Amino acid sequence: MSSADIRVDELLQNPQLWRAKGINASAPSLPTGFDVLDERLPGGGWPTRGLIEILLDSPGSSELNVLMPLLRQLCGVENNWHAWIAPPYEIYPPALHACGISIERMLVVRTSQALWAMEQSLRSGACRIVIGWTNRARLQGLRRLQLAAEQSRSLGILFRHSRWRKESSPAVLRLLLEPIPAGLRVSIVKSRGGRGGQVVLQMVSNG
Amino acid sequence: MAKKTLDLFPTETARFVPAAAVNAEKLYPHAPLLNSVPIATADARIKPVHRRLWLALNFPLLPFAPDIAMSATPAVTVETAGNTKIVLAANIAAQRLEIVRGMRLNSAYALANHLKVFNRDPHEERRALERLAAWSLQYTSYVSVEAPDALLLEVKGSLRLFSGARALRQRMFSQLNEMKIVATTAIAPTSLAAVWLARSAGPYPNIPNLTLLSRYLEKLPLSCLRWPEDICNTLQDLGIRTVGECLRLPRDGFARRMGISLLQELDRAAGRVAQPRSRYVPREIYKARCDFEMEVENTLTLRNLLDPILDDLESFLRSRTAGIQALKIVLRHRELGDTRLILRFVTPIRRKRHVESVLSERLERLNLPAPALSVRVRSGPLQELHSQTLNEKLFGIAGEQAPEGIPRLIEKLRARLGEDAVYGVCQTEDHRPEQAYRKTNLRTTVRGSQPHSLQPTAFKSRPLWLLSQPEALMSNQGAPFLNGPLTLERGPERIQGGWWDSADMNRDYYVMRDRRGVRLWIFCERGKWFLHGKFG
Repeated sequence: MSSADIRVDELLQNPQLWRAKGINASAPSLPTGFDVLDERLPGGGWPTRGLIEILLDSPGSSELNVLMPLLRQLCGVENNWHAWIAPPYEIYPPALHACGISIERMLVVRTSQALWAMEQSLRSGACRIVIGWTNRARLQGLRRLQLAAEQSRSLGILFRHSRWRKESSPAVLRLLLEPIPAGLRVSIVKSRGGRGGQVVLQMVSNG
Repeated sequence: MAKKTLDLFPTETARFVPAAAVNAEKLYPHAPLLNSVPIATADARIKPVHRRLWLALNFPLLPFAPDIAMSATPAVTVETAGNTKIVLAANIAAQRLEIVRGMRLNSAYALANHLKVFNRDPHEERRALERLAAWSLQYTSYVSVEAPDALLLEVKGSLRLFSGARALRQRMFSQLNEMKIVATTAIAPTSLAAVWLARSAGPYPNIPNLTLLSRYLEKLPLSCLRWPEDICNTLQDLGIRTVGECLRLPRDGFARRMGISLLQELDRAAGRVAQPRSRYVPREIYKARCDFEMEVENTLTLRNLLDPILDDLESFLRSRTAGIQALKIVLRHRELGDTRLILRFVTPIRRKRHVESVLSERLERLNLPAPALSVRVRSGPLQELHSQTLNEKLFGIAGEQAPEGIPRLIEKLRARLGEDAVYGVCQTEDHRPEQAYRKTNLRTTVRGSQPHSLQPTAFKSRPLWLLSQPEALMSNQGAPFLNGPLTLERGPERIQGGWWDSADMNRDYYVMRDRRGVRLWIFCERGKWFLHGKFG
């Protein structure tokens, strides 16, 4: 065995290193409800656990519409709890209900400590999905979120401003959303084992 | 079991079930069977229920204070029924003069010259009975209160522990004698029969099974049943004086004349219909106090000092099979006023770690105004634990999502962020956007009940984001304007009304799109434009 081989082996032991081959093939996923997006994502849909980061300029850019099919799967028929941490406006329950999402098991948290509340909600494992808004997150905080979501098998979705797109993030999936007259442009900033790229979604209005 | 029926209710030999009874049976499957066979006849459809053994304690002198119950002067407690006063209880001296329960007060005066009369105090009776219930918990964990004057103890498991029914009774009565309490008792496989037999004040009946029970019920006088007076009179006129005679009557005739509920009572007493009984949970609270040897200045030390108290609390709750929903911690300072912490739990809890998780959040935020000298801990009332809490103990975490998770999560978030920061939502029956939902404190949903919800189609074009306050928009020649001109997509939809609760509105709602393609929910009221939501 040559010394070069050993170095590669050692490298592979490093937990910070992941190989595209090992991850995407059998990872369970949930369809996004948008075929063009499914094609781009590893496993053909949203990951079922871990942290997803969604970057956008301002709230109201169809970002909730993108999530509705996912929420309907997780919190419609199955009646799981879903938590909303520090949303920028009021989530309007009748509209959520009209989308087929159970609002009886909805938890809303109004706080300036969004990161802490989100971590607690993810760590408890009581909510299938935790959706949070914050612009104060630092790398270490994000790492804690990702770890909490992995361990409790729940899904965390973090909305941040698009100015953070150049920063590194431990999230499993990072998307950048930009509304354009033709629909919604979704750029895949990071996806473990995915191809990346850009798609335009035709938003079917929830109204 | 008696085969003969009385001639008063002649019955056919063939089984005849009236049509009405058949329908009633279909409609109410738990209603007693109505047919013409004697009540005592065993029926294949009525399965005997015999799983428990009940010891009934009857306290005939409960309405009296202990000294009056034992005093040499005759005394009675009376209850007012209409214009007459009826004797509810007579003390031992009065009983010697043959004053009995149910007698009119005037008749009692005729028997005793110097009769002391007390009015009944139901609250005091209830308190006395609960004190006795708490006392009786030493014999079994399952005590049921049979108001107004009896207790039922499930003793099947306790008999061996106390080496038999006779020894158990001796032990109980020596304690009751010390407390100067008069009681009569009986053991029977059904709770109702046990109470009846205890009231009969005969020799101590100890009936281990249902076969023997029917023999005891045979001779039991009807007065022990405390049925309504007119029913007792009717039965007496028919020549029926004992439960045994009653059981020989045909079911349908009995139900028709005396009422179906009394037939059910007989079935329960005979052990053919189950009678679930509520469990008595003592109304006590946990109290603890700790004086610190040194003044405590930081919350970390405080937490360590509270640790043994929390251990004690858990074992206190465990021994009572109960949980708490509130815990008050009061810290005493030298000169300043007390510091109070109140921990609240969404569902009743028992385990130390649940208390700890909420406590540590509160302590983290706590600024001690001065060193603490002592601490007092006081729990809220004890409550029955939900079955989920018990399951969690048995199975650890059930499934992928712990059912306990949500209450614990809410408590933890509330402990740090405040009560109002965490809430749920529900829909209300209102067409106005702001009134179509409201916030809830999540207590009902956590317990699993499903609140009423509207049809999903009721609100079709509503935005996912609602601004908490509508935002006034600039207008340009009568058209709304937000970072550029807006294009109309849909509208108007007129929403008006609200004169009934002073939130009157008269708005025309439009769906519009801004330059970037963001869909907005905009309304016009009295010529002014407002942004009210985004379709998100």
